[in-house]
Amino acid sequence: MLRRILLPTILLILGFGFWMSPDFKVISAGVAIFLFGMLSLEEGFRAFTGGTLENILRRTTSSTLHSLGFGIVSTTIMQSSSLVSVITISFLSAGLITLTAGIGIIFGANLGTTTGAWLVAGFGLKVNIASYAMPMLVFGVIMMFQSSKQLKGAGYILSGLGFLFLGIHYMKEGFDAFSVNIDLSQFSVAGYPGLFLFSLIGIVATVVMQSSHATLVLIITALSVNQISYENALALAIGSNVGTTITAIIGAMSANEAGKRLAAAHLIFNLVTGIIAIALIYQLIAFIDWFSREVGISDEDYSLKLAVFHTIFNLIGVLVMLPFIGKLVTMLERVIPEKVPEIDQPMYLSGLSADYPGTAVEALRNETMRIYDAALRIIIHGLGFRQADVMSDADLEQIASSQSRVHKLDIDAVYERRIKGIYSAIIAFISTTTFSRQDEHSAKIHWLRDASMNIVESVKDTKHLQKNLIRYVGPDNKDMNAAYNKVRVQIAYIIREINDLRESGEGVIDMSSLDALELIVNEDRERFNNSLSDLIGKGAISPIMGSSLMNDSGYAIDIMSNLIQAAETLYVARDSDLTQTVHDILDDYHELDNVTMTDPEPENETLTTETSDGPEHSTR
Amino acid sequence: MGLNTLLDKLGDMLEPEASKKKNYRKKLKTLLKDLKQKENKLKEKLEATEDERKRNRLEKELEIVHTQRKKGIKVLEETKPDHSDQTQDESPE
Repeated sequence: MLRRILLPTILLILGFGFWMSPDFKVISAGVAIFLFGMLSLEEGFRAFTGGTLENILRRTTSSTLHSLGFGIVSTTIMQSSSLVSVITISFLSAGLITLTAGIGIIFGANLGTTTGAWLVAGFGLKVNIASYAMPMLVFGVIMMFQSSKQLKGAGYILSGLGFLFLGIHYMKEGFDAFSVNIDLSQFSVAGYPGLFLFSLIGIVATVVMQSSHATLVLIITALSVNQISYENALALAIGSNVGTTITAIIGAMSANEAGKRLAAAHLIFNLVTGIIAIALIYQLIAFIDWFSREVGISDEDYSLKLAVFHTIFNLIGVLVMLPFIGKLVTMLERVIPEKVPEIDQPMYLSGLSADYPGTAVEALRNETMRIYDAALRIIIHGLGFRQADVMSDADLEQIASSQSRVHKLDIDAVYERRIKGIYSAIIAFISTTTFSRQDEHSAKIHWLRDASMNIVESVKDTKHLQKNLIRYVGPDNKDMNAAYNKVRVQIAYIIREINDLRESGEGVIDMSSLDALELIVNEDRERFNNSLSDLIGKGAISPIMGSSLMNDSGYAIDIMSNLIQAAETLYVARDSDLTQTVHDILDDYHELDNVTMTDPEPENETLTTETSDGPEHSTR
Repeated sequence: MGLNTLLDKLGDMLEPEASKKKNYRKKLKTLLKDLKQKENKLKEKLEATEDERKRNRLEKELEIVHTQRKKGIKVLEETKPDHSDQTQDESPE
């Protein structure tokens, strides 16, 4: 219920926000474009997985020191720790690197980003790579249209980067309205309260401006006009270092658990580094004064001293945190666990030994019945019906004709959750048994394996059939709609019959009842194929549609036959079943050696071929 | 154990093939009786059922069981011993 109203509520709030504030609209668009860039980037990196990129990354992140170096170098080149952390998150999400390597890169990026402070302070240089966004998008999109996998991947990466920059640009634009009002002098407070306050301002300013470099420029300007004290400027730098993690946190929104863990590691690192820097601020100031004198930086050159401070406190952070990477990884894996989809597991096979054939057969039968029921549910929903309707006396033809479409069911996903775990356990268990066909239990195990394969086949066939059900069920083409409704109703009726039979027989079905169902399926196939030829002949449907229908009716037949065959193994009590006894006794008849007579001729050729001489029946 | 039973057992031992056939026919007769009962039950069900699809299934099943029974009768006929003293008990229909 909550989930159902959550999305409309968010959309409404956003809509209201857009209407109230144009700045909010720009910021939100920025976040959206940024996230789209993340998705595109991940898609691009995925194209390079399976070779080159893994090799490069494996070499560059083979140890923590290598990862650290990779982070320092790449951030120095790109001049954006946010960008490096976001790319690292996408590497991690795509499964290209480990979390430990990712954390190493992030630590390195924190050191690499301090070169920016040197560039700004030393040369007044501000590298603005955002201006590359537009060309990147153009080149990226052109490359995306190429057929080569590599070019396409590079296109996705380029346009992903373009969208990232564009997103950051729009976020900045939106926040500009707020940043012009930042007057730092009004907050000037001495001592530790001032340090905390300015750290906080640093965080907010960096979140607002989406760039620690921009905050740094702001700090230097404020410092040069004595708006703030030197200590407060350092606190601002510490705050901006924490605030810069916001980009990674936004980036992790679209990432998987691994990506979220890395963003959390980034935040933890920068917070710990910030706390250490604040705690040791006076010692650091003394150290920087001594260091500056030693390297020839004048006492008044606060900009360069700020750059020294930026580098030193990040270096301290790296040195302090580096030995704890392993612990950090363990903690993050515990706090942010990977979401494992709920998968149905075997109930009867666990801990069972194949040495007791009687118990093994019973357990296998129970597990196979579970996947049979699961398969029936999947097939019913895949056909666009409700289970309650199929398992009751409801008029399915009427229900089918009243539906304007068949909703897509992700059959692969449901199969993974409800069947695959049990099916794999069945196959694995059977493979541990050694059996010969002569042994009664072994033969039963063999049939149960076949039955579970029949069940899985029927689900797979439903998946194929569903594609065209979604396409053709609806008001667009009356004849195709009617034909596909006929197909799905027929399957649903067979399921209903099987279910009725096992309910009325309390879990036991007569083989003759299932033989009758098999006959009905064959008759319906004949009838359906004839009506199909008529439809094509009349020009009511195109030959292409006809071939689709023909294939899909084949899937439908397979679904029904597989279900009937599986039911035969699961629900026919062979020891007491009459039809089975007929088969056995007729087999014995051939063995009576002193009897000289001809084989009794069947009265109805089709019927006996289907019912008594079929390989399935006579072998069991 | 009566004299007749003892004589039967002796006959079985002396003529194992004939005994096998006799047992077979005995089993077949029981089966034919069961099939007849099943057929009657199906007929009753068919009369009580209105749903067209269910009727179709029941009709088919009835046909199958009937055919099986016919087949059984034919086998019973063909395994009938030549001796005229054993012809009194066949009344499957």
